[in-house]
Amino acid sequence: MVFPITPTIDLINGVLCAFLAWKLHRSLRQNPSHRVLHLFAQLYVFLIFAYLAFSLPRFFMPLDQQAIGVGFLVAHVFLFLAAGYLVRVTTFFFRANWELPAFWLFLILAVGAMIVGVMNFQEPYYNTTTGITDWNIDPMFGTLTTVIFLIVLVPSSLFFFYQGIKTRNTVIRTRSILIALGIALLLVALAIYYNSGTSTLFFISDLFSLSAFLSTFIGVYYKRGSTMSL
Amino acid sequence: MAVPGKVQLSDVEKLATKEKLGRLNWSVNVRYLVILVLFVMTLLGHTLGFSYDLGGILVAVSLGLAFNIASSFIYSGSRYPRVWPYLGIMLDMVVITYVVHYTGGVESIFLPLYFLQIVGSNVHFSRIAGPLNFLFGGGIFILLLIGEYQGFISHIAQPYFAGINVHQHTTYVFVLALNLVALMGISTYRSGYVVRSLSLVERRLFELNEELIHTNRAFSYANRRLKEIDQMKTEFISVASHQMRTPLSAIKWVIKMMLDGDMGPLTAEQRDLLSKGYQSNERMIALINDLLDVSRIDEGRFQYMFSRHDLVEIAQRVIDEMHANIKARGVHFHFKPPENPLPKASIDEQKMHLVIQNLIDNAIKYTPKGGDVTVDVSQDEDKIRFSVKDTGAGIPERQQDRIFSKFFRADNVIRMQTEGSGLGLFIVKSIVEGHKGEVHFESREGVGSTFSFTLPVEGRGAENDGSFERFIKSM
Repeated sequence: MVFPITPTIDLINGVLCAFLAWKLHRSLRQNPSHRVLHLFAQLYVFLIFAYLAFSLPRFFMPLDQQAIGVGFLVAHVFLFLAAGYLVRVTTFFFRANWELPAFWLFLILAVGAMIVGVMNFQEPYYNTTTGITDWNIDPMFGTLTTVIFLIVLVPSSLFFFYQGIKTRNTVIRTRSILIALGIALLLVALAIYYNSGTSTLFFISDLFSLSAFLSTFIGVYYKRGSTMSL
Repeated sequence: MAVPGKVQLSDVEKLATKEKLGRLNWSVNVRYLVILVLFVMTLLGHTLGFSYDLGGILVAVSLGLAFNIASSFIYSGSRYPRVWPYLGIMLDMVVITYVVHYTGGVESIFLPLYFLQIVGSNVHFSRIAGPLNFLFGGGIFILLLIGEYQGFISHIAQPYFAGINVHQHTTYVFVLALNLVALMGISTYRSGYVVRSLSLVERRLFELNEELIHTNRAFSYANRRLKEIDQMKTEFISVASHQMRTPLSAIKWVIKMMLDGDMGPLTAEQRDLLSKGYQSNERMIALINDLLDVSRIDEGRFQYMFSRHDLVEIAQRVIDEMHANIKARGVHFHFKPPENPLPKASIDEQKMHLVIQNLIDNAIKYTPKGGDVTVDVSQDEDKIRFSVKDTGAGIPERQQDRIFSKFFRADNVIRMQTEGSGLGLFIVKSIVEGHKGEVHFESREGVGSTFSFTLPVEGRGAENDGSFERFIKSM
C-alpha cells in the first residue's frame, strides 16, 4: 500500500494542535483567570478532534467512503466550533461586548452550513494508489463554508498582524505575526480545499494547512533567547 | 524564627528536591510524547502493511499511559518519591519489550527504543538508574529472544522477512542479542559519563546556591528592617502633617482677616509684614499637602477617581490659574494646544491638575527672567503626550537618575532657590503611573529641561489597554 499522504498530514495537524493545546493549557495553569487564553486553548482542543475525525477513518477504513464522509462532517462540527472560538478571541480584543453575539451569530451560520452539508452528503474518494483523498465536496457547501471562514479568518489574521507590527516587544511581535501568518495560510488552505476539484489541489491545500499549523506552532512556542520553549 | 544570615541546609535540600521533581515531571511529559509517537508510528506501520498486533500494542501503551497518569499525581507533591521512579523505568523497559514483541521481536524496527530508554533514565534520574535499566532491560530482551527462539512465546513475523524465520536462526539471534546488549552497555557508560560530569557542575551550583541563599537572607533581613523604618517614618510624616495643618489653617485665616481689614485698618508696614507671613504660611500649607500626598502614596491610600476628560482643557485651566505667577516671574510662556481635538483619556481630574501644576511650576521657578517655557499637548499614536520645555537651570547629569526620588533637589537649583520640598516630581511620577502613563525627561545643565508624560487614550475595546500584549505574552 502506498504511503497515505493526506491522512498523515491531517494526523500531523492534529498532533500539532495537541501540542498547541497542551502548551496553552500549561500557560493557563499559571494564569487560571485568563479567559481569552482559555478560549484560545479550547480552540486547539476542537481542532484536535476535527483533524482526528478527518484522518482516522482513512487509516482504519480507507475503502469505506461512507465512513470517511461521516468523518468529514463530524470534523466540520469541530472546525466550526474552533472558528467560533477564534471569533470570540478576536472580538474580545476588538469590542468586548460583541464577543458573545458575534459567536452566536457565527454558530447560526455554521449550523446553516452543516444542514446544507448533511442534505447534500457526498461520498469522498480515498485513492489508495496515490494516498490522496478527493473529498468530492458539494459546491454549495463548499462556497458557503468558504464565505463563513473568510468572514472569520480575514479579520482575525489582519488583527493579529496589526497588533504584531504595532508592538515594540520582539517576542510579542514575532508571536503575533507568526500566528497571523498561520491564520492567513489556513485561509488559503481552506479556500483551495472547498473549491478544488482535483486530487492535486486537495494535496496542495493539505500542504498549506500543514504550513499554517507549523507557523502557529512556532509562534506559540517562540521565546526570545531560545528557539523553542518546550 | 530563622537567624538572619545563617544558612538553613533544608533550603538547599528543598531546592535540590524541587529540581529533581521538576526533572521527574519533565520525564512524565516526555513519556506522553513517546507514547503518542509510538502509537502514531505503529498505526502508520500497520497501515503500510507491517504485521503488528495493534491490540497488544494498545494494552502496552495503555499500561504506560496509566502509570504515567499515576506518576504525574505522585510527582506533583513536594516530597521526592524514592522507589516510584525506579518502578517507572523498569515498567518502561517492560512496555518497550512488549512493543518490540508485538511488532516482530527480532524483526522489530522499534529495537532502538532500548537505547533511548537507557540514555533517558540516566539523564532523568540518577547514575544508578542507567546500569539498573541496562541489566533489567537487557535481561528481559534476552528472555524475549530465548522465548521466541524456543517457541515459548509466539513470534509475530513481519511480511518483509517472510519465509526466513530469523527468530529461530541461532547465529542471527545470538549476534543480535550480543550486539544489542553491548551497545546498550556502551550507551549506559557514555551517557553515565556525561551525567557524572553534569553532576559535578550541579554540585558546584548547589554550593554557589548555598552562598547565594546566605547573602539573600542577610539582604532580606536588612530590607525588612529598612521597610519597617520607612513605614515608621511615613506614619510619623502622616501624623505630624495632619497635626500641623490645623494650626496652619487657623493662622492663615487669622492673617487673612487682618489683611482684609476685619480687625481694623493696617499701616503699610503692617500690611507688608502680614503679607509676607501669609505667603510663608501658604508655602508651608503647600508643603504639608505634598507630605500628606506622599504618605498616602507610600501607604497605598492614594485613591483615584477616573472619568473621561480632555487633557487640553485641564492644562488650559491650570495655565489660567497660574497666569499671575507666570507674569510675575517674567518668563516668556507659550502654550501649544493641538491643531485637532484630542481623544479623551481616563483621568482623575484633580490629580492630573496637580501633575500639570507641579511641572509648570518647576519650569517657571527654575527659568531665569526672560527665558522660555513652552507647554505642548499632542497625540502620539494611541497615547496623549504632555510636555513642558524650559530654558532654565537644567539638571546635572550625575544627579539625573535621582530626579524622581523623594526630597531630592539638584545642587544647582538649591543654590538658585532655597524653597522647594523635592516632592513634586515624585508625586508627578506616582500620579502619572497611577494613570498607566509614563514620565520622561531630557535635561542639560545650564541649557534647560523637557519634562513630559504620556497617557493611554481611552479605547473602544480592549485593544488599547495592553490586554492583547498580555494575552500573547502569557502563552
